[in-house]
This record gives sequence, C-alpha cells and structure tokens, in this order.
Amino acid sequence: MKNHKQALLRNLVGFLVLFSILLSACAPTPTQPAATQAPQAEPTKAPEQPAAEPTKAPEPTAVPEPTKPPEPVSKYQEAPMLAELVAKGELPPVDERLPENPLVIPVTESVGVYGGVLRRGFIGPSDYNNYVRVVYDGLVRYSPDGSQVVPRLIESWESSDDFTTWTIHMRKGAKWSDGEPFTADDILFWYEDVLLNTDLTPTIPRWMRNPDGSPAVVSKVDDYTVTWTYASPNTTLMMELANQDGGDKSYAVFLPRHYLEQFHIKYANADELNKMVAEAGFQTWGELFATRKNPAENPDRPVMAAWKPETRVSDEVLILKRNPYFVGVDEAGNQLPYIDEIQFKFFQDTQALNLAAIAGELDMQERHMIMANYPVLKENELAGKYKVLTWPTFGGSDAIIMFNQTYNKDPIVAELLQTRDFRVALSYAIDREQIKEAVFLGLGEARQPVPAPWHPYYPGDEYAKKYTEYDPDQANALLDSIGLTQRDAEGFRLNKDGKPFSIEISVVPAFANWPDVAQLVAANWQAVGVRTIVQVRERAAHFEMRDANEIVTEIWNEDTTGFPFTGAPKFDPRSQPGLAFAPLMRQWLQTGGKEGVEPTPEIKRIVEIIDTGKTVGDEERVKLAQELFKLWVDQCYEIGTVGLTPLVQGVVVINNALRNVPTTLGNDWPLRTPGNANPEQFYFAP
Amino acid sequence: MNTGNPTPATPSTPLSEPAALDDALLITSQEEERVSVASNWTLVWWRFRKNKLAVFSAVLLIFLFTIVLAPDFFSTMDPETTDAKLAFIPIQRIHWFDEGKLRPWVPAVIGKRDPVTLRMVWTTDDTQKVYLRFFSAGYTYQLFGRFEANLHLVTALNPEDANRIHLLGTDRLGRDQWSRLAYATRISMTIGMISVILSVVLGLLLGGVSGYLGGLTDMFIQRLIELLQSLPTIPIWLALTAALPRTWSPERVFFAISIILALRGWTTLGREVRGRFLSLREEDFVLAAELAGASRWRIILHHMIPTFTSHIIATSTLAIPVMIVTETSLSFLGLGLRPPAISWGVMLQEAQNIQTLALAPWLMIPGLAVIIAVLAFNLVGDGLRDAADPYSH
Repeated sequence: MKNHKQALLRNLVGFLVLFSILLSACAPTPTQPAATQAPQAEPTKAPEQPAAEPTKAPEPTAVPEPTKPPEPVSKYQEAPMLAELVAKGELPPVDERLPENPLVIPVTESVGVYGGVLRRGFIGPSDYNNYVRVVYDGLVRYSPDGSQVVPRLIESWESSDDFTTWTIHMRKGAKWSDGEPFTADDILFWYEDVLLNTDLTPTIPRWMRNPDGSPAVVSKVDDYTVTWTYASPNTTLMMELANQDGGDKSYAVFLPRHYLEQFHIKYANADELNKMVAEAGFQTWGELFATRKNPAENPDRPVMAAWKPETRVSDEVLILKRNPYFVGVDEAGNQLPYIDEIQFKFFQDTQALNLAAIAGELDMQERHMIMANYPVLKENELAGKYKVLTWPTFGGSDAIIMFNQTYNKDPIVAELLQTRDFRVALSYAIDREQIKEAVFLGLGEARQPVPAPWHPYYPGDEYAKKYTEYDPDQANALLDSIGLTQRDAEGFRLNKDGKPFSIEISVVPAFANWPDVAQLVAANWQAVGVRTIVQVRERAAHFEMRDANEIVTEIWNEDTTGFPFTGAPKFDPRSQPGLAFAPLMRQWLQTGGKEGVEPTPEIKRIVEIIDTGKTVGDEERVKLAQELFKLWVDQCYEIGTVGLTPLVQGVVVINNALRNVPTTLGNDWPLRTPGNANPEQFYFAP
Repeated sequence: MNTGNPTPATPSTPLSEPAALDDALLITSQEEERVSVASNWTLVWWRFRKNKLAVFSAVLLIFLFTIVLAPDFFSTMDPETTDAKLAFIPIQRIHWFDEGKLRPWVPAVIGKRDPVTLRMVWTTDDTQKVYLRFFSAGYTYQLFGRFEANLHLVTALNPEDANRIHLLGTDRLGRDQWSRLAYATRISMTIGMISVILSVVLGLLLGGVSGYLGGLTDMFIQRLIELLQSLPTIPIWLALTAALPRTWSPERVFFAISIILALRGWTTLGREVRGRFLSLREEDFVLAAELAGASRWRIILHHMIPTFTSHIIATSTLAIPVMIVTETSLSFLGLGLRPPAISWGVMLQEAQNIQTLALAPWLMIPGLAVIIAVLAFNLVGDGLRDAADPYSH
C-alpha cells in the first residue's frame, strides 16, 4: 500500500517536473508565490516593554546539563570540525574567536549536539529572502513571539530621556567570519559611505530622516559605541534596526568595511575599480557594490551570521557553512550553531518543492508550502518521517479586499468606492464561513484586519468582528439606502442615475488560492445585486496597476497590523510598495499637496496617528494604535475575510529528527520567520 | 490508408453498398445503374458508412454537438454555483435498480472534515437514496440565449435533492463537475469549430486566388504561407495569447483565441486548394466554361470548388482536434481562457496541483473528454478522407 503510494507520488513528481519545464519554458506560471516579502510590514511593538505577551512564546526550558567536563581551560566548546582546524593551527581557539561577552541564545527544549545538514528548498534567485529569513542577522532582532526586540550582534542599548539620542553598545572582540574585528567603523561605513552616498542611496529611507527631511546623525563614540541622534523624539528606532539586516537585498546597517572598501569609489583605486566594474559587466560602480554586499550573491563577502554562504543563490544548491566566529553560544557554553551546514535546493516551482517536502526530502520548510496541501502532508507524515506544525499569522487577515479610495477611471464606481455604506454593505454580503471552508480548510476565524487578540494593539472583539456577519438583508438595505434601488433585466443594481456599473476585483495567484476567494466574494456580491468581475492577473501586471491607480478593488493579505508605526504598513497611504488604498493621496502627501488628491479627514487622521506613534512612549502608542484600528474597521477601506490561519508560510514541515523547533512562533515578515525561532540552536537528534 | 477495401462484399449484401464499386464483376446491371447515376455525395456516404469506427465516432460527435447546443439541458445544476461545504465529493455511482425495480438513484453523501488531516472525507449513506428522474424540469436556463427552458436530462425526483446529485463529483469550491464539463464541452468544441471555419475561409480564398491567378500573387501568397509555417507554433501562440489585454472579457478572449488559432491553421489548406486549382484550371471542363463566357468567380465557385468540397470537409475535420488540443494546452498553461470561462483546458488547469492528484483524481476527467473528442474527430476525419474520393479505385 505504502509502496504503491510512494510509486504514485514518484510518478507525479515526474509528471509535475515535466509540466514545470514546459511552464518555465513558456511564461509566468500561475503558481509563483515568490517574494512573500515585497510589500510587507515592519517591526512590532515597543522594544523594552513587556506590556503584552503575544503568542505563548516557547519558554526556554533551559536544561543546563553540564556538558562533557572541559578538560582544558577553555571556557567554551566548539564543533568537532572546528576543533580539528584549531588542532591543526588553522584557526584560533574558540575562546579567542568569541567576543568577551558572547550572545547567549536560549534553547527551545534542550542543549543540542553538533553536526548535520539542514535541507531546504528555494525557487531561484528571486527567492533571496529565503536565505535572509533563515540567517536573520541584525544588530538586534525580534524575539520568537515578536513581542520585543532583543540584542543580537550588539550587547545593549539605551536612549536619552527625550528619545532623541540612542546609544548602542557593541560586543568587544566580536569578529567577522574572516576573523577581522567587528567595530563601530563597520556601522559608520554604512552611514557615511553608503547611506549618505547619493550614488548608492538616492533617497534616504523615512526611518533615517528627521521630520524636516534631513538625515539623522550616526556617530562613533569609541570602537564599540555608536549613537543615533534625531532632531525630535523617536521611539521606534530599535524596531527599525531589527529589520536592517539586508532583507530584500537592501543595505544592512553594518557592512564589512575592510572587505567592501575595495569596491567603493572613495577608497578604491579608480582604475582598478573601473576594471572590476567592466569585468563584471556593470555600468556603474554602484551596481557592482550593490551585488558585492549581498552574501548569498558573493560568497567572498564576510558575514556575522551563524552560517556563511559557500555558493550563490543563482546556483543549483545554495550551500551555507558554519561561521567559526559566530558570536552566539548556548547556555552551556557551546558555540552555536549546532548544525554544520544548510543546503537550499533549487526547485522549478512550488508544486515540485511541495512534492519534495511530502517525500520527506526537506528537513525544515515553511516557505512555499501551500496550505491546501496540508491534508496530503498530514497523510504522508509517517512515510515521509516528518511532522507538520502550523504557525498562524500574526493577526490581520489572510485575504482582504481593499477599496481604492482614489480610483478615477469611472466616476460612478469611484463615488461608490468612496461611500462608506457601500463598503460596509459589501462586507456584510460576504459569507466568510464559506470562504473559511473552501480556502482555509476550516481554520482561522472571520475577522477584520486588526491585530491578534493577544496583541496590545488589539482594539477589542467588537471591532475585530464588526461587519463580518453574513447578512445579505442588511447589505441589501444599505445598498438601497444609498440610492442603488433600480435593477437591470438580469437583476443587477443600477446607479442612482440609472446607469449600469460593475466592480472589478483584481487578484494575483500568489501565496494562496486567492482567486478562489475572489470568485466566492464575487458570487456573494452578485447575490446582493452588485455586478462583480474577477480579473486574475499576473503579479507584475497587478503591481503596475497599483501604482498607476488602475485597481478598483484588490485581494491581498493584511499582515502589517502588528507593526503600524514602522516599515511600510498597508494602512499608511504613503507606503510604497503598498496596496491600492489611495495612490493619489500618496502623491498628495509626497508632494506636499501640489499633485494628487487631498486625503479625507479620516485618512489625514490615520497619517497623523502613524507619525505621532513614532515619537511617543509605549503607553501612548498603544492608545494610538487602538484608535487607528477602530477607525480602520469603522471606515471599511479594507475588509477582512478570514484571519489567524497558517496560510502565509505557516505550514511547517519538520524532519522528525530535528529538535528545538518551537511549536508556536510569531509568523511575519518583520520577524523573519523562521529566523526568529533561532535556527542556530536547532539540532539533529543523534 | 485506404480503409475502403471491401473484402466482405458478398453479392447478397444490400445493393446500395459502395462495395459494388470495387467488385464490378458481381454487380448486376441494375446495381450498376444505381452506381452510375448516384451523385458524388451519395457515393461518399456509401463509402463512409462502411467504416464502422468512423460512423460510431460520428454518432459520438453528434452527441457532443448536442451538448454544445444546449449544455444546460445536460447539466444538473448551475456550473457556477459554489458551496464550500460540498467540496471534493467523489464520483457518485448511479444505481439503476431499487428493490428489484428500475428506479435509478444515487446514494446521498455525508461529509466531515478529518480533525487531523483537515481533509473533507465523504462517506456514502446508502440508507438515503436520491432518486433520479430523466427528461424533467429543473433549474431555469436560457436556451440558445433566447428561450426560457427548464427541461433537463437528469434531475432529482425530489426537488429538495437538487443539489445532492454530483454524477462526476465536485471540485474544491463544491462546483458540480458534471455540469461544468457540459459547459466546458461547449466552449472547447466551439473554439475548435470557429477557428477551423475561419481557417477554411482563409484557406479557400487565399489558396484559390493563389492557384487561379498564379504569377506574382501566387508567389506572394506562397511565400507568406512558408513564412507562417516556418514560425514555431507554440512560442508564437504563447506570445500572441500573452499579448491579449488582461482587461478583456472572457468572451473577447475566446474569440481572439479562435482567430489566433486560425491565423496559422489556414496555411495547409491554402496549399492544398492552390494545388487543386493549378491542376483543375488546365481541365477541359474549365476551358469549356471559359469558352462559354462564364466569369472568373462563376468558374471558381460553380465549377472548380465543388469538385473538391468533400476533400475540404475531410481536411477540416482533421484540423478541429488540433485546434481543440491547442486551446486546451494554452488554457492549461494559464495563457488561454481564464476562469470564470469554463473550458476543458481551464478545468485541467484548475486540477493541476498536488491536492487534486493525491486527493481528488476525478477532477482529471476533463482530460478524458479531450481524448474522446480528439479521437472521434480524427476517426471521422480519416473516414471522410478515405470516402472523399469514391473513384479512387
């Protein structure tokens, strides 16, 4: 029976591979869940603040077992492969490689053993963030539950009383993967030579700017102390820093000065640099610099992370080997990571990757796992020697409908989209139970796009559930009340002036079967007389339409609710990339009112809340966030369907032998899931 | 190739058998006369119906075209009706007898989500029988987009059971596959037909002009044909369909795809028609018509084309399955028709995932429909081609 099944699956692999070849040869495949990341959010709540305890964080149940009594005087232990190199004299002893005060990473279950290769799947160079998420390497990081920012490469930080100056203290003796010291100069190199260099950074990101637009000042106090100074209070800096890790191929705030100087025009010999630029086939030195700084595109580039790329993300297998200088140890003094090597294997498409996971060929995979395959995964758990965990998303809603507030191609539709009762009516018209069953395997709950109930920003059940009950009568009554009483021959409503209209839902087959959600929603809306057209679009085409203000309504997910004050939250009309919330208002806000459409008072208030939230203390910020979400739900600019499901990278396949993987985990892009689970302390049971 | 070799032609077979053609010795004078006065079409028909496989396929095609004309009649429910609580119901087996009497029924199904695997598990409940009725009233639809009708092939005896009949199971949104297949048949077959008709018109026109006029025109058209034939088909189709504006409605996409398929489809036929014209224009009867003062168009339409109409029909029949398969492949790749349009390719495209392969294999049935239709067209086409030239022996 089992053999038969496996044979069947093997045949299917062949079948799918064949098709995937065909597909890739032809055109954009409909199953490209690629960069989950692009338009998403940033940091969570307050840094040093325990106000709320989000997901039951896996409590580090430390078992400080006295590992093999260290015969020598060494304070720390290391992996056997490194001990060999030390014995041969090719590597300094572990005590010299670690900083004076190493980072102690709590283990999830138990102190582990060294060795093993962790196999994962990725889908090509566009999947760069697959690497970023696993190594998640920043000065600071989000804790596993996402509730707070915790130290990583730096030791500690403090702010001035007025929150204008932040001082960070680095680890003395920390070293890059090539053994060079990691100091304040590496941060200053980023600040002076990358951020303030207009070739490399044409526009300074918002988080590094003062309200007047001038850049914040970063300065070196001594080799291990750096300060950030803003003109006005800034209470969200550490949350921002938690994501300045090179994600999306951006510049991390710390760069290996000793290595990258050779590619920087200020330090390099101009002739040699030009030669290198020409040899690499680039036009400018900036392009060369930008690729040389990405570890997974350039294995020569030293890293601080626990593993260092040996091959490139464009290779068939992206191989990461342990970094002998990694600053982290477990509580027993074993230098981390436990696992020797990580291999990212290339797959043509996500279906093939899912099949590999089902066959037990991947040790840990949550990215690109398709939630609809959950039943198949579960049924093959025994045969594939893996278990399936779920890490539901961090609040919000896993399929939302956003109404474009500045749509202007059709005046009738534009007016309706801007009518609150119309949006509320359409929210009432949706049968969310149906969507939950059809698309979410019965998981999750019908809810509006607000944070999870355990989050301090949660505005209360009343708002989370507002307008989510399936009530076609109420929807019809509201539509009648705004004058859409006449109907055409097919029973669809006509506008007040008797003209026909239709609402388009633009949907991209990314992540999930969102096109199914669109079809279900469309059927619901048609049932209350609103003619609805579903347009399934290719990702790039849809993104272009967002910026061109051509989207009427769109389906996406709302995952920024835990992070409204940092990054690019979806309810901030200024966010770019952002959803088609109000593209012309973004223009208005960006040009200081010269172009675009002036925001409504409600939307102005949203902008004001977000800006104020960056400058106030935790208590005040929680109040502001709650006000924001109440306003957001009341106005129904974006209606939620079903949330708190593991839809987006939340179905996790774990090899039975892999230990220390938390069963619950905050799951979101700013948390770099699974990076926030601390993969350094994962280990294979012998 | 010739299936018309009439081995079992015994003298006692019905006299109208085309076999008579091949075995003149056995033909009585009366039969001989029948054959000699029979029209071209009659001869073709005699010959064709000897090919049993082709006749069977033709009957099958007639059935498929009935579905094309009135898919609603064959459906048991609206193909767009979704009910997530009815997702992934397997094929229901029809039981013809109930307690010894002919009383067709399907067992009711009860679904439950497995708490561990979250899979919908359906068990049949033989105690609850959903009785079927044939040729009776069901949901109302527009016949030919014009007349209101509610007659259906199969309906539930008890109107309350209307949503409990899923002869071919349901898909992930709880849509009835039997009904969707009926609609898909309409679109897929129609696309094949429309593009072939377009190809035939183009082929006849350009091939005819090319063959009859000759000279520069001929040269130009022939080089055009060569150019079109030298282009690799799949990439060209992909490029053209990908270039269709995404904002187009399914109907416009449908017609655009028909045209795209026809754009290359006409070339083969164009060549053949030209060849015929080249040989025919030297024939005596053409010369006679010219001398009698017939106009150019009259000669083409009344004298030349009728001599090879049967051949054109055979060729076009063989071209239809190619069009169907092309449409299906394009839609399967997500480049042809898109939901909410329903075609065989769209249905297969929706079934193209691990979930379906592992848990709901019945959703691959549309592939079977493609195979049957393509085979039937090919067999009929072959039969027609062999029969097309009754004097070939």
